[in-house]
Amino acid sequence: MKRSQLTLPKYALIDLSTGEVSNYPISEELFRNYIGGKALGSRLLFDLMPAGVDPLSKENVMIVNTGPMNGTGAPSSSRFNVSFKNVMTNGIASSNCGGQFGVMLKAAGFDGIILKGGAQSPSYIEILDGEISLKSAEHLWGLDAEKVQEEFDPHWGKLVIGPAGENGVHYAAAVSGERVAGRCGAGAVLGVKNIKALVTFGTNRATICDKEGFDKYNKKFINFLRTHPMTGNSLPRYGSAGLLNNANASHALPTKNFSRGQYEHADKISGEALADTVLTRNSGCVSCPIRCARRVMVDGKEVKGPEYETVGLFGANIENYDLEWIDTINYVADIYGMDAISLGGTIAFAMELQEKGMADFGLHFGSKEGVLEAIHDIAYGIGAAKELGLGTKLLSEKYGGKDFAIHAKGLELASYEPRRSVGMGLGYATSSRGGCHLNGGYAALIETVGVVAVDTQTPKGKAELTVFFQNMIEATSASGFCLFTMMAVIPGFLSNLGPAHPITRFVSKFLITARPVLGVMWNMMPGILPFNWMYLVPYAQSLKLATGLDITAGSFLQAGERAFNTDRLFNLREGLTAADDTLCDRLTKTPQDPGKPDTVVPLDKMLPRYYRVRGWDKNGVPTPEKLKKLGITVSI
Amino acid sequence: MAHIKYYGNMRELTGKNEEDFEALTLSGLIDIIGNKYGKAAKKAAKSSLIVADSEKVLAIRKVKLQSSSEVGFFPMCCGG
Repeated sequence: MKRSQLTLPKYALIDLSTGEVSNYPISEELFRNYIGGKALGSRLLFDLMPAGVDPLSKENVMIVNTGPMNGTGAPSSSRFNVSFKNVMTNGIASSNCGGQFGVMLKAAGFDGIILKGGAQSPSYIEILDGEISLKSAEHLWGLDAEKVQEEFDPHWGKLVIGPAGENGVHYAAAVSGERVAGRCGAGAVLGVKNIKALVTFGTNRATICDKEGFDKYNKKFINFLRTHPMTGNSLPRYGSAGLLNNANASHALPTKNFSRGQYEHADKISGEALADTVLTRNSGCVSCPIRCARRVMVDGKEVKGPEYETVGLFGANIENYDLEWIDTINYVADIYGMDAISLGGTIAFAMELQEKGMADFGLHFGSKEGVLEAIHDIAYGIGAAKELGLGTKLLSEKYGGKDFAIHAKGLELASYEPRRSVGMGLGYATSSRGGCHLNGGYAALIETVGVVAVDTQTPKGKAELTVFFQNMIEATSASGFCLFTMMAVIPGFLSNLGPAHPITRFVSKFLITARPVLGVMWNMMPGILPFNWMYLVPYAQSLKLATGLDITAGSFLQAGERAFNTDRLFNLREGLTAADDTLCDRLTKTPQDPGKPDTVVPLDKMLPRYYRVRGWDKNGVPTPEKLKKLGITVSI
Repeated sequence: MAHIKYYGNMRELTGKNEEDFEALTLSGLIDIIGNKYGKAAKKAAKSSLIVADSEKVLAIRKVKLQSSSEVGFFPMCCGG
């Protein structure tokens, strides 16, 4: 049965200072242009928050929202988003999270919640079947993220902070079940607003425009994911840590604060080792056929296991190969409510400061001694370790070491060494929210750890590939789909052939040699892809059937481009410039392999081309023509 | 004897983490693996990310091995 009208997203605005709740209308134009999730969140932030707001003040606006696919039953579609001004970078922030909060928020009748101002005293927000109320959280303040969730009905969706959020750790996270909206300091923003938790439950079912068509397509989509070698085999079998050995083999596993790309004990902390030694079982998010999450035992209790990022950053990057200890660190970071990527990066930086005699936090490469205690003290703001809660950038401004401070715009890099994946380096430098591999386009997947073995060192073609994947990721995230489904976009037959097969090599070379054509193509969206094809962009047709939006692969990618440009405008308005599209000297000037001068990230060669492909001027500012083409009407 | 290391499902297919083989070329080595462990292992070996003597292999046919060679087979995987 087809419905003829679009169902526009329903947003509520909560003024935490007064407790007043109002409807916040989302126009059809905004819905069509930004879809939902991160993309719509960025635009709403741009509209609702003036420039110059201190991210650690109550004036920071936070948007907790879903994408249209949440709750529809589409595969891997339970991701929700949190947008706010970035504590780490002072620019745009978004943090994406799995679990059931987004699905429950929708079931409660809301697509998004906008939080303005701050509560007078510790509070939590209850969202139950269309009703929103602000309640006292005096009795919850001080509890860790696990215990606070136990205070609520187990069937409810929850988004909470732990002590790190209460104590202003800059990279404090918001935690939902055992999933984490980790990056950029969402927990710190909730903490400064005096919000300990958002809890939600409802009984509404997601509206689906073309139910029959959607169900039919859904079956195909699920089958597509289940039969793809990556999403149907590799990810379920080894989890995200399955790529650790491959990253190590490719010299792309950050080791000793990104001073090297290989760790001699990598195999002891790999996905294989995890599966062989500490794994109890697999698990996954609502409606996800991939089930990449791991379960492990910590202190006799079964908890969520570590992802690749945590294993890399608390393993090779601090020279540790005790996998059970990493499980504990992962659990502790979660219950304290901290981003394990920024935490791991900051600890590695502190270790190098110590090694170089520049500061001593009692942390040493190759030693676990003092690390758990330091993490506790960071979360609770105790002693010298409290300073580590500021993150790498601010530490480097105080103690020195900017040349080895591994961050972009202030946000610590994920666990990919970009000197052996220079497109990933370009992505880190240009990512809107800072050193994020996903917002950065995740070129590492086609350069180093994935099946398509694009030349890791050449700057050629990297601008075009990065722009394409950045746009794709933006749109996928806006929809509410998990980005891991994108692994299936790279044709499965290539995985079966392998990177050394002539056909794969041809594809890899084609992606570089065809760069002038690709660069032009990206700017011809949506007209160049006025259709939907599952094997190219599986999301567009699913979105179309679920929402009634007239969306094609081309307009889907253009929505991603629009979102990325909106992020850029937000960052420019906050004073970030092209000078912030950079990485530290270790990554851009010091070859990883002294015998191979090209093992650096040649940003100077890639950035001008990247700006051109994006339709930005030489200062990295979107041109009026580009904004007009994208229908972006805001200005800075 | 070239030293071989297996990762991912290559370990499941061979039942080993590492072993030594006499082989002059990478193609020959993959044939030996196929003969010993069957077609599935050979297919998995060919489609792996292969690292021979610390260098990523971009064309299997061109790689010659020495007695001191070390070869790693890393089946394709993803995550992040």
